[in-house]
Amino acid sequence: MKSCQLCSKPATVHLTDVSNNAKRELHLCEDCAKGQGVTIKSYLNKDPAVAESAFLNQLAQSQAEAADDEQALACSRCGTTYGSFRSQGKFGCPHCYVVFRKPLLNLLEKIHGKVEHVGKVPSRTGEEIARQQQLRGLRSDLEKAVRGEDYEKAAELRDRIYGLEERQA
Amino acid sequence: MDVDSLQAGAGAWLQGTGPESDIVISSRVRLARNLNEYPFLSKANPKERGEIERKVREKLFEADLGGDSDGLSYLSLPPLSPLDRLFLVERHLISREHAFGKGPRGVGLGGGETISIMVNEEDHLRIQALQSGFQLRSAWEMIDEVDNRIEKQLSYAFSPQFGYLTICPTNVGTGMRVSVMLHLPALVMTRQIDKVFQAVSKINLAVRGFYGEGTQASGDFYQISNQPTLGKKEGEILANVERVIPKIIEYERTVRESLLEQKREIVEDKVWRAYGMLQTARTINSEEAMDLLSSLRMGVNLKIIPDVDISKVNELFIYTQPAHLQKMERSELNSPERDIMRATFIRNRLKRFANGGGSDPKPGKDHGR
Repeated sequence: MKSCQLCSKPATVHLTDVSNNAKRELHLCEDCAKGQGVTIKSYLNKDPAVAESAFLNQLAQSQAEAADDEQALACSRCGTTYGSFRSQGKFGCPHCYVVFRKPLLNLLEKIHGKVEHVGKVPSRTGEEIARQQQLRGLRSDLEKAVRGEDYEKAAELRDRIYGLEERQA
Repeated sequence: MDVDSLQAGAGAWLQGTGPESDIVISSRVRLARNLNEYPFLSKANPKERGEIERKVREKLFEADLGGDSDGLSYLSLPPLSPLDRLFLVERHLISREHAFGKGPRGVGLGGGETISIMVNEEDHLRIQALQSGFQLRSAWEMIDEVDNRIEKQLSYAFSPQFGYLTICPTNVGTGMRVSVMLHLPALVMTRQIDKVFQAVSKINLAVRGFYGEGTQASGDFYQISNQPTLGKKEGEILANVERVIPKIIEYERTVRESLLEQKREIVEDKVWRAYGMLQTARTINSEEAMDLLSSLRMGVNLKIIPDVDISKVNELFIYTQPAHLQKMERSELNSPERDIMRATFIRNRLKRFANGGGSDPKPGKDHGR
């Protein structure tokens, strides 16, 4: 189940825009979709062709607005703008990854098909990060166990998760 | 340590030892890393670049990377002549971009040319381990250890979400590029190499030429490497490449065998013609040399050409390159002069084989010379 890209609630509205041989996807919850100007119910009673073009226009418009916002984004530490990043393909400093996080997620999905690092962790900052990684792994295993109705395993995993979480304090 | 002392020996990875070395020339693992407290090289000003280079160089020495060999050597690139820098490119120790880049930068070398650490190339650090033959796991273990030791001395730019932060998002996450260089003359000869390209790109692997990114395939050499660097563990990325290589090796070997069975004379002709040219030509350009040496190499692997050692053929690929020739001659040469020198060098080198230089005398053979 995907999360809404704007607020992390479950996404129930999935928009796909295909233009210039590029496919862009937006996943939103109903509230955010409305907030972005995508109205849903009004299409149900209209002529499909009209509804479709109105829908695509709305989508293109909201994408364009988002794109303008993105272009204006700039890194406070090194001054790189998102626009210059897109044209050069290079970031300016580590902080850029924080500033440009949202559009970056889309880009990383396209390049790598994944957006989260699961590999090696530096030993210095390591411990906390390794713990977080482990927690993420355990939580996803827990989900799988529950879905597979292996409740014994699920209980065991849950206990391990509690154990790890407590260590934070 | 200077470039001249490098010239004397050949990198360990050239020796032609290592598993599957009839087809796999080398295995390489590279990690991209950046320092946390500085901008990336796209935004770093000259003063910062100098600081980064100095700091990294200091810490590389403190990191005790020498291992069991003569310790780490560091070469700063700007003072070197373009020829010396090209020499390092030809040895696969630095990239072309690094050789002809700008600003303070250098390379740390260790383990008999198996470890090379580029400083201020595209990222602050590009750490590379190079091994002979099909030894990805061993290359990875080496470089993992080097990375750990460096990291104790420096603070890497890292985020829990995105992993090791790099200047290009194409490298972010593990920052890891795994590649294997293969010699595939039979597949090229039978025009089946495209099948390999297609199959390989379907599983997110890239195919490149002899010098890596953006280069042409020459001498029938191809590098297979991973593309995505984020969202998988390092071990998985390694395994993905590891899994594919034996299949390509098998494919090449099968085609070689079937060529021998069904078209033996054609293969032998190609090989012996190449050997003949190499032994007698008075001038050879780079491209032709790569082509002929490739046939010779296949001939040696298939035991069509006796008494020639594979590591000597491997060396010929390296030593006949432009900067290597000029360093041997200790002077700059223009293109026609290089072509003559190349032919001379190859003739002399191959003559030594024919005279039994380096191999045991066999009964009944003519050793008069």
